Amino acid sequence: MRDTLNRVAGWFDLLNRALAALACAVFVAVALAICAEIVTRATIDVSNPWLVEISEIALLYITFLAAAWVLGNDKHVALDLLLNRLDARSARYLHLVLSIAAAVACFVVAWFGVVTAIDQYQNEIREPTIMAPLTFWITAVVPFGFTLLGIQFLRRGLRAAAGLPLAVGPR
Amino acid sequence: MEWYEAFLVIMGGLFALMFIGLPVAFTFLIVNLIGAYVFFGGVPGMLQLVIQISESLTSFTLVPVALFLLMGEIMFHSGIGFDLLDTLDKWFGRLRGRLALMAVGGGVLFSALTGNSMGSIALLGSTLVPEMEKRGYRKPMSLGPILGSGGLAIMIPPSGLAVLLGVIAELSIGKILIAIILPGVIMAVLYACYIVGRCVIDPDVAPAFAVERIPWSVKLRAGAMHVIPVGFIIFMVVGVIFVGLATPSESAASGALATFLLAVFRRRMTWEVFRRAVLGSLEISVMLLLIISGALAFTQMLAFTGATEGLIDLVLSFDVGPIAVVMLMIVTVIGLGMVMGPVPIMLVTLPVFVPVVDQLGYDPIWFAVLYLIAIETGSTSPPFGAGLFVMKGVAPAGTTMNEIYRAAVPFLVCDVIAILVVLAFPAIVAWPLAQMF
Repeated sequence: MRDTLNRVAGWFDLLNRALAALACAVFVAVALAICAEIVTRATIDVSNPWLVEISEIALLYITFLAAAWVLGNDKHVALDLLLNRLDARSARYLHLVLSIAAAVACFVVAWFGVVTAIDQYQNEIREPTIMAPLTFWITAVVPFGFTLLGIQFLRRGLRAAAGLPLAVGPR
Repeated sequence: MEWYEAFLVIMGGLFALMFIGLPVAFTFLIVNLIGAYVFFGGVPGMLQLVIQISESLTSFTLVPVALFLLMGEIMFHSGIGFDLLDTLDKWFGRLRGRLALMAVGGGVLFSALTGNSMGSIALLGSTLVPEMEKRGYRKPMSLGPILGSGGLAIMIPPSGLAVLLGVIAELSIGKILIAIILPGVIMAVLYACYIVGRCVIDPDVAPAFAVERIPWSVKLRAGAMHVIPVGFIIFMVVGVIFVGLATPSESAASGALATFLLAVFRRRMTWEVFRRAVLGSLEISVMLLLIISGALAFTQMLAFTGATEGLIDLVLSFDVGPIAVVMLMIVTVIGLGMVMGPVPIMLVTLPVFVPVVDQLGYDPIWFAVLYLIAIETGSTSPPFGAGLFVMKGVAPAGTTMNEIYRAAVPFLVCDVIAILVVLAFPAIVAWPLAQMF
């Protein structure tokens, strides 16, 4: 049972690292595209109005593709005023309770995200912008990201309860 | 439910969850979820929350948050920051208190390059404090200048917190970035004046020591190699906004590219440096963007429940002058900074403060500048200012929190003087804005 869980956790980490790598690639591509926009506008007076839109959507994707990876690295900022004053056992259990609460919240948002995205897909709702993409493609990454976050929080709670470090390993 | 009841429940829940250690982004998420269900009519409220989260992050004004971070990470991992310190060391020559003055100069330069005060304090603290201790500098003159000048990252473009403020308060990011320059320089000058004055009155605090005479040719070469290229980066961030070549969001990209090119030019850009810089900036960006999405939904909930309007009416009903209200807000921010990090403070207070300032008839950009100085002051204020703990982490073994607290105080007084100067002379903010194209 433990081996199976460890294997699943390994696959999950691999998925998160792959998604983080994808987010990095998108991030760098956006930076380069914006630089190209400044140069072409200043030199040959050519502007790409869709770039702003692409960058905006990319920002949303970057956030939700990498959110679970960031949580796995224990890099989501938290106040530790209380946690630092608790003994190790109490702190472990507080981490467990907080992680379960956060996981539930993430799964609830993921559920309503799926409902919203399906509704947008069925009604073929489009963004009122130049590219007019299907809104479904934009919303869908939100439940996807929150599902991964929910799973990562459950894992974080279990690791805290077992006395393991909250960060899952090297990035 | 009356507005104040809703306000107390929402704020109480938020503070309680933050206090017990839930990551800030998920504190907002839980409060927003419950709030959406209670105040926005159950399931429709939940569906609306998903759309709010999605819409809040598809915003071009947030792009600089990530790109300025990338810039700072490249600067840090490529070691260009250390070259700057080395150059300053050559230039400061035999000045009394030279290492403390170097901390201020380094703080200004790193601020212009990284936009991250905690990174600046860590870098300056780990490199300069051991040298200062070796030279017999006492704690007030070794730790204090670094705490003060590290915090300048908030006040010198590209300031990540200034961008965040612009996003949350819906103010022009370009104007804020230009408006903070003069107050930031004033703060650096105040720090330098204090250091020189203290060294004159109490020479033992920073003993003079023999310094190898550096020929002018070496100084000029180091300046040309390490400082002039920084001017290029600063131009690519602030200059392009000033002359109208790029928007603030775009300037973050040009700044990141300029920093990358500088690292390539200096043969410091390896695959490992690039990988660590991109991953590092991705980590912080994602963390911040999740918090921002929660905070924006939270702001809408406050407005929907009538809490924002109720608070504004309450504050306007006080029988005190408008300037006293502004000062009260600034004191509140400093007070919160003693126990909370800058980002949560901004997220909690800005949605309430900025509409009040607007109603009082003040320029919100002027208030934004005061607010950022207060954030900087709070983040190095005892007992829990975040900068103090960063300093504890990098200071030599045996340094006590009490020594760090005492070292910070004179520089906090300088910050308060800077706040009073900007309060008394709003032209310090207005004049550079009037010069913008």
